[in-house]
Amino acid sequence: MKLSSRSKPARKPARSRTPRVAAARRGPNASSNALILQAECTLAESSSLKSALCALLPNTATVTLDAAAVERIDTATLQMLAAFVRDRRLAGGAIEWRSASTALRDAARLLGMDSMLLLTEAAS
Amino acid sequence: MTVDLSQFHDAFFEESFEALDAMEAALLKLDIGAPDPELINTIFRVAHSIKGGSATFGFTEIASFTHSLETLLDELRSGTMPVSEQVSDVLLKSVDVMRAMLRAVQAKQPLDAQRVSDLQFDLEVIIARKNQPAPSAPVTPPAAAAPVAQPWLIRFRPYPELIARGNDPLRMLRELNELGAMHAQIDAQSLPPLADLNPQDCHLAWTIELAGEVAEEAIRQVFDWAEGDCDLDIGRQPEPALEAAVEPPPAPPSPAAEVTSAAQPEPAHEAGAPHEAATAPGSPAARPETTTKAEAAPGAHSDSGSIRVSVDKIDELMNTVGELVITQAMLSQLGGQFDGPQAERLRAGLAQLERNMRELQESVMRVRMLPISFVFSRFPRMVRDLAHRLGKQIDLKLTGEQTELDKTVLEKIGDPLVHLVRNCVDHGIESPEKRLAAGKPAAGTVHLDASHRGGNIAVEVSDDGGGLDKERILAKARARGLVGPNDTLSDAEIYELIFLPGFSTAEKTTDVSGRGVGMDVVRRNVKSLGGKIEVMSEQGRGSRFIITLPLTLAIVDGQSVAVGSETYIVPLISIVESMQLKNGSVSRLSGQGEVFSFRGDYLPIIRLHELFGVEPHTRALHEGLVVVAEGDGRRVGLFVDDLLGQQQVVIKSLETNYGHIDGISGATILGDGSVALILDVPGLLRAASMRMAA
Repeated sequence: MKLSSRSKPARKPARSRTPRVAAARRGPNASSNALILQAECTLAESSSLKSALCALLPNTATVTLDAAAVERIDTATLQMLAAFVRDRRLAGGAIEWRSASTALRDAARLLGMDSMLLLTEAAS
Repeated sequence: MTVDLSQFHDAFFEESFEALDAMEAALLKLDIGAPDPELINTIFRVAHSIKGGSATFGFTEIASFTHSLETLLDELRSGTMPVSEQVSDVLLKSVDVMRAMLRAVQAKQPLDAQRVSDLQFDLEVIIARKNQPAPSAPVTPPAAAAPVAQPWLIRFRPYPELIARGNDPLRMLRELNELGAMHAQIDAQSLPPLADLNPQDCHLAWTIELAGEVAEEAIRQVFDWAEGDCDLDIGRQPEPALEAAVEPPPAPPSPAAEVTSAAQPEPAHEAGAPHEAATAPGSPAARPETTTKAEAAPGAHSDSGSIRVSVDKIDELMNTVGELVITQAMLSQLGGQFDGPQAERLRAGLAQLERNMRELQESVMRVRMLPISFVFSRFPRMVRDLAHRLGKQIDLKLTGEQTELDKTVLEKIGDPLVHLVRNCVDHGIESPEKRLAAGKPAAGTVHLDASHRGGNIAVEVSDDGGGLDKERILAKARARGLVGPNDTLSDAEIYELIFLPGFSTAEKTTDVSGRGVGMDVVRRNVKSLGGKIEVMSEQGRGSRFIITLPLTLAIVDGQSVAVGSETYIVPLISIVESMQLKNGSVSRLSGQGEVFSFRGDYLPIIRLHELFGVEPHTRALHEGLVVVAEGDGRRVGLFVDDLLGQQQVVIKSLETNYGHIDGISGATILGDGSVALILDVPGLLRAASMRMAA
């Protein structure tokens, strides 16, 4: 439940609290079966991540998850990823981690979710 | 189903303001460098409950702000960030901002968005800075001692709403990991298909093995925040069993265990946000009180044995009791007129009634009483800020905070006390250099004390500063023509001068004090409460301001006096003494009416029968009595026929029931059912001088 704090605070803007840009976004040059996770993977961004994951569910090809940039992640997001990975496997689809940041790995390990998320054999 | 949440707003605001007070108090007690974890917990709890409440009610700005605040507090709580002066300042500012936001939302006014976002930015900068040097390197716990005991086995099954309430299991497990070697086994059987998953709902459960010398208390503390939002079972691992850790805990039948039959979403999940709102209407602030065991049902947060009652209801009760007192007095009087054996029993019954009545009255009165700490609690912060700004070192000492007084009095005493304390800090306490030069400790002391004295409460504000400067006050008064150049004044009279409107001896006006408004306002406010203020001072040693107040405004100690066939009540607090005038001790001054000599002073006489148009028993001054009364710093002799006795009377407002009359502060009903007017001495003085002028 951490609020995302931007790593480099810029000037003081009178920010409005509109929802931030979707945390999960297709990478600029990624194919339609890849998902790049943003630095902030928290409850605040969960709904956009959920739609992105749902969109990937029916994909027949191997879905690649790129979590190199993840700096902050919470249980809500990990739970969603777990549901995604499980649903994919039940449907016979494959997933693959392109890379996973230390933050993600630490969090998954603490929660005992690493094997569930297939993170044990993932490349770092 | 929609629940009208607005009905809970008031309770939420009230609780939030109280919680903020508590948070502020805790912040002020927080030691830089070595904070008490319990205090940080208190602070965290406040931020957390306000966040929960405001999110539930859709006050998004507050929720967002408190979220940032909570993140910072979380860092403090886990010990990954030290409590620095800067952090404590920002947190105090956050209290102000949250108060302002709550007030704005309460009054449905726009928020000061710039102020909020500036501070939120500061909060996030602090969090971000902390994260830069050591991204994910929390303080390593001291190496666990030789693990003699069996590892702990913790079954942790969050309720779905745990996450929505602001808790994150990850954070808890991380904390556990810091306590000792932890291994968590997840149970994801209840996890619904992704499509049906509401990200805010937690469907996971854990069986956690924790090895090392860890106290159960420490483990419980980790789950403090989740209390009421989860099932928690903490026990020692059974000796031989290792499979216990592998075996998932007994899981409730999970509706979505069969992933293939995905068309069975729990209704609650579909409901989304409304579901969240509907779960917590009974506990608007959804605060995790940490006194009960974790097994408590969700939403069943109950406070200690107190309830919130509107003041109106209590006033109504007071009023009824007041009427009862009158009826009882009437009966007692009537009972005295009977004779015979039956009358004896009647009188015994009436005596009992009177006793019970008095108890009832006192109990009802006590309901309205609040400890003065409600007022005192604002001072630590104020003194700290002022001292900071003025470059002084000040210790604030509070004593007698538990002294209780009536809520109405309490509400009105706040401002006068603020003035007095400000004056002490600004004028009273000298700069550290000056103090050291005078052989005093660099840090000055401001002492606030409250105590019961008879039927009154005395609130004392004292300091060990320079004291009032008599010379300067006198010089200033002379310069302004308030005192003649050759008049000599006693100390008390000189101190009296500071209560004059516009009187200030401050060399320069600061934004703290010195504008000459204040002391006269203080006195006026205290007077309007039926109280008085005294000053004592010793040059170089400090000054003391003593405010004496009645415990309540609903009852007054009065002296009943007779004028002709009428009875009037003179509040005891304004009576100096009563006396019989000797024949010939009264002189008549042209244009000023009659005066008499009283301790070297000439006081005017007000003949109450003339003022109120009553036919008196006697018009000769030496045959009646004179009550010397004081009001607004002036004394006057009230001429009455006779003194009847002292009694406590219940004040009935004349203004509410009839209208305002100068010289009368209210009315009361006497034992015989007749109405007596309560005199207001300052008003009498005004009324009399107007009559004189006419």
